[in-house]
Amino acid sequence: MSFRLPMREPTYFVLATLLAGPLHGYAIIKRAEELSNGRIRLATGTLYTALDRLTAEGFVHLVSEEVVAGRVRRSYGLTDEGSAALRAEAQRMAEAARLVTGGAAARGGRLGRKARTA
Amino acid sequence: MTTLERRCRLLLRAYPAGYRHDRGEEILGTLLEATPEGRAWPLARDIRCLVTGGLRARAALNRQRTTAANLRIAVVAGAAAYLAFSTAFEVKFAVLTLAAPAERGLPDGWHLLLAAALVGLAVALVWVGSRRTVVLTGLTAAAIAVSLAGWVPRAFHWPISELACMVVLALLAGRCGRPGRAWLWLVAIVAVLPLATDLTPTFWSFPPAAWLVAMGIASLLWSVIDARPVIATAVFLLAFTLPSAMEDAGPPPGVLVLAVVGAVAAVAVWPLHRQSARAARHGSSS
Repeated sequence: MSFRLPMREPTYFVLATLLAGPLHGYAIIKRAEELSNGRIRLATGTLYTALDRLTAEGFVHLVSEEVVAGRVRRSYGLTDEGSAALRAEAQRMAEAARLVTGGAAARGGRLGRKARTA
Repeated sequence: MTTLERRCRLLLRAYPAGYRHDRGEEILGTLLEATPEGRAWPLARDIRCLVTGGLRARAALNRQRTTAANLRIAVVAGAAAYLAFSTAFEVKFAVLTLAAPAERGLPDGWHLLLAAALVGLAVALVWVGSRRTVVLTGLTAAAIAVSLAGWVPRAFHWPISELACMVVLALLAGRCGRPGRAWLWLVAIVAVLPLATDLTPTFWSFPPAAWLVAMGIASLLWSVIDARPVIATAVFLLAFTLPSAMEDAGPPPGVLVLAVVGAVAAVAVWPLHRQSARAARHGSSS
């Protein structure tokens, strides 16, 4: 299954919540909020739009279905493709971060100072 | 059922009926859990995202069909709406005839009712029947109407618009799948227009132009999500204007309206094309 990078942040966090195992809708919302230190607060409509798309793309699959208080509660899990897409996105972001925080940025800074003083 | 749940269910109506059937209870459960205790409405961002998510889900339905199939549905719905409008008018006319046949000197109201009922049935069969039943019912209605037109051409005429709409139904109904039940709203709204003169103040001359303008504006706004209603409305207005345009002698306002409505319908095909299956193959992203 193909996917496009960069992934949108809510999509990234929805997939990230499922790394530890299948979760139902409200648990995904709470877990995404925890993982992002409160920054990502998924609205219910956004969550199900994302789940529909991720299911269609093969990144997420339905794991179980139960009835709680008279209502269907479905749990979703990460597929191998979803896991691969998530890791690829994490890798991309890590490489992008290293440009700023890692050795390349420091070397670039020194070279820039030399060029300015020469 | 609590007030919150009732309001959540109301918001879920933004989603198409099929989607609600599959996911409605699950989304409702999540929404109720995500709403803090004591609130009568969900959070503002939940309301906003439910509405936009519902509209997206509606738009996604179009992307399961090709442009041609969506166009056929829109044209069939527009033709059916016009026939429903015409049928309602004929029923009103037939009832008046039955009430005072001697004074008016008009044809047998029961024949008018029969023809109108058959046209109404043909319209209903677009949603529940096969193409063959639509054709057979429409042909029978047309035969009765034509025979009536021979009796009293000015009192009950089947002008070109009704015949054209019936031909459209005969040719296209059932070839593109049935229009969704939501289209029945359009049909129902235009079917009550003939009664509007009885229900509204007298300064609203027939036809109640304000209703038609409102319908046109609403369908234009909705074209961002789904361009089919604007095309269906254009088909309705074309059928509505065609007889007067053909009767006009000088520089005709009817022809001008026809040209404008036709142009709007032609332009609306472009967003419809973007909303249809071909666009979906290139448009998805994570």
